[in-house]
Amino acid sequence: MKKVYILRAVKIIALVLLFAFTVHISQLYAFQHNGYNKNRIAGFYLEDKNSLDVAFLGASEVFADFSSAYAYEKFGFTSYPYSTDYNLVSLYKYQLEEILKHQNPKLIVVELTMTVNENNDDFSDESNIRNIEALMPLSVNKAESVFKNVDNDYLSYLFPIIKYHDTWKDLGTLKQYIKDSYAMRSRGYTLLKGATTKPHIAKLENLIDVTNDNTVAKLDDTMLCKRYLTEFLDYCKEKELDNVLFVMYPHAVIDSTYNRFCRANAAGKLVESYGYEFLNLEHKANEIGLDYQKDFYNYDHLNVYGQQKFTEYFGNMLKNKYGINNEGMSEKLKNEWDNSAEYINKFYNYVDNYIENNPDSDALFYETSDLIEKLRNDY
Amino acid sequence: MSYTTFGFILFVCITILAYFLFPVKKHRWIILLIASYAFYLFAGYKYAFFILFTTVSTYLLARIIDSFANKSDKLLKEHKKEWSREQKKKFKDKVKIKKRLIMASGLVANFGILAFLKYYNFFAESFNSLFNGIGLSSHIPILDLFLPLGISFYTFQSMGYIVDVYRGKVEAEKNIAKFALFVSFFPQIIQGPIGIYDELAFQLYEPHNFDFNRLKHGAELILWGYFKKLVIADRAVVIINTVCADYTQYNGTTIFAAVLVYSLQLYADFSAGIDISRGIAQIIGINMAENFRRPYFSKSINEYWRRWHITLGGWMKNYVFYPLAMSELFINTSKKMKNSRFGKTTAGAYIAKVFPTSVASLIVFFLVGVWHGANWKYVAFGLWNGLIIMISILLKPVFDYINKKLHINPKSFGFGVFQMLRTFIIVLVGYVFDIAPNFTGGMDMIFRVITDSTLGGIRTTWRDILACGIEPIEVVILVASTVLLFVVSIIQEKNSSRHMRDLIDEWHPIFRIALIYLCLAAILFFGAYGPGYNAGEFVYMQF
Repeated sequence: MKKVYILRAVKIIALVLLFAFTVHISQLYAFQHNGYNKNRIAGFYLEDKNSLDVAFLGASEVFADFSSAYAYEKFGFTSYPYSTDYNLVSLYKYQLEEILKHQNPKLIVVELTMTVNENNDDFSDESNIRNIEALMPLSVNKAESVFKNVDNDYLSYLFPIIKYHDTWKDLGTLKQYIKDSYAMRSRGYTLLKGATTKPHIAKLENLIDVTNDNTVAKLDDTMLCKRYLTEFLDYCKEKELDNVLFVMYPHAVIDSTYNRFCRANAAGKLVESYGYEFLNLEHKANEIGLDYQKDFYNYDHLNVYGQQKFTEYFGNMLKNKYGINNEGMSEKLKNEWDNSAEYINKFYNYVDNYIENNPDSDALFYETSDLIEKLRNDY
Repeated sequence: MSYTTFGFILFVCITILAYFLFPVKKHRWIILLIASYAFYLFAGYKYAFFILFTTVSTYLLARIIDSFANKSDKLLKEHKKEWSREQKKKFKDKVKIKKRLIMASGLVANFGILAFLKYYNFFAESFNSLFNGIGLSSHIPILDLFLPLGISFYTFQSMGYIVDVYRGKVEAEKNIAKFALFVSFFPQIIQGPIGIYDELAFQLYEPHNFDFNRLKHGAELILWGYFKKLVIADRAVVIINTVCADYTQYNGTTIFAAVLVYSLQLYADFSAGIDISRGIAQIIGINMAENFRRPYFSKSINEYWRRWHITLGGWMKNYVFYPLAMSELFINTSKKMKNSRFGKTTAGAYIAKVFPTSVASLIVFFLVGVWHGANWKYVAFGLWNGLIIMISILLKPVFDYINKKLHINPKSFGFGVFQMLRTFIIVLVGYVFDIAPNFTGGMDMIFRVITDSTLGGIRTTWRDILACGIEPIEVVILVASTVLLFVVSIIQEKNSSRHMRDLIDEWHPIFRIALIYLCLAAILFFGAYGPGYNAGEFVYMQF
């Protein structure tokens, strides 16, 4: 009799495990919120534990403006952007928790652009939330962030396959996703370290010079961004984190974004009131050497040329002002980062050529198996 | 709480666990009652009044009928020797009339509610349009009515019970809470099957112990139900909805394809819901009535209705068809016809003989049509089926004669296939009214299928299907799933005395696990569920 029970238990457990494994593997390689955000966030979790000197937190500016691989080549420290498009400040504390679970960085850089987003509707926008929630691995922290920030379909955030299980409808794209995931995971680390940009030089007009502008706009109490930024600052204090640096990256400010610039100044004051340092790099565009007619792919993001200039400037600041440097890494890790540095240079060469030949291209370049293959063979 | 939500699956798991963990075995039915009412209240508090009214009124009236019958029997026994035969007959007739009145009050009240909620606006609109059409002003108000969840199913089930008590077939339930469970048992409340009291009630009340084989078989049935619902029905529904939203934009071939897909979707959807319900009940230890037996393999419309929605057919047979066919009116009319000059001819004698059954069939199917919805198209659907059955009964000797003359062996395989195809096409004609916007739309669709279907139109149909927002690979999956459903149906048909699950039990454990895993994986990857899909409610949910 006992044997019968054991056999039944074994069969049920085998079935459950097999099914759970199927769900896990499918989510990991195929049925996910696929694209450049996925590759970047997945890449973060591939980094060796406690191997990063700097972790970046923020929205698209973070992965477009600064290149971790290039910074490593120039200054020798390791870093990684934990960021997605339109990354909501309401989710920052959970992302910080993720960063701290896997890394023990000397400095955490928080980019403030999305923390002054005045549009309250963005905080409940499904696509904004899924941008990051779908990509975090399943954990208590993720569950907490889902239950606090999502109104329905909780399970589809915890198990993204529920939402993305029909990606097979476009077999060609699915094949590409699987190929990219497989290439990255089998290598064990990312080569471009999450850097994503457009090979495009934008024609920017009607720019406002904010170099010496310290105008502060009121961060209204009705703005959800203020509430969430305050919550995030409280969280940093509660965690007794003293290695957090708040930064506003440079933008090409125009009429429609001037108020955001002023709100960022207000956010800076709020940050400082918590005893944290606020660095407004909007003021430093000239010092960085940014050329508005060459270094941006749109008003808010730097292209590869701008990325190199900004990385050199900010990387230098991190190394010399904040004392970030790498205090010894394993041979394996060094090889990996050296490899990344080599590829980022190949990437810059490739994009340089690409821009020359395709001046009107609006494509987004990020780490895919095809791109890596091209860089390996042609550059 | 839809069957296709994770909330429902969690609810079922909690209920099953609570049921088997409840320490007082003989009171385990209370867990089912609580779960059933929780499930019902979750759908909306406003619905509760209606199910409570049906429960209380049916319970009380059945008790009154029962107690009246018992008292009458006692009185009859006491006066057995004193009363003459005539006195006894008179007394019995009096009792019968009183019992019938009590039963009738229950039927009128409960069917009255159902009819009012379901058909009031239909009649108001029809009357207004009729009177206004002939120049008389009519402004019967249209009301903002709602249909409580599963009202048709629990009303039919309860009314069946009160008739059974009246007929003395069953004793009235003394415990109102137990009766409330019979009316509201959650796996069947949404879309049946319609349970018969003496088959279902005792199963609900008696304690059941956990049984692994029941769990296994029940879970397999549920899984198969979800496969049919999520992989087949909810993927196919896109085509039907798009084509039927404006059928005038499509050629006859596409409309025919939509009707064909509807036959698949309706069967997959309805049978899936029933499989899930039966699977849940089976895990608990309750065997609910079968509602489908491969209906599309039927060789006649009569047989189709014995295989499709079996419990509705059974209910109609027990509580409408027999009472009508055996009624004095019908029997006397038949006798009169038989004794008339017309009845002396061979044809007349035959028609007189089958008159009660054929007319009763027509009335039953008229009611079946009306039951499906408050719209003339459903009346047409019912009458179409009823007329076909009536004609097939009346012309049976003619068909037999033709077969004989043409040397057709009615038992041959080829003729069997012909009969199946013929029946299926007749069924499809009825389905047109189901998916049409209204009666005239249905007629127009049939006209278009007949006059505008060509082989050349198939290419256009393929383009039309893809324009519904369905990818070619989805069509491939739909076709593959349908082939699987067809193969399973053939296996079931060939082994009709055994369940598919019993056949699978004979497989090697590895193959069994592999089959369950593949079914789970098919639902996981190919199911139409999750955000981005409008979780399709079951077709029969709001009946």
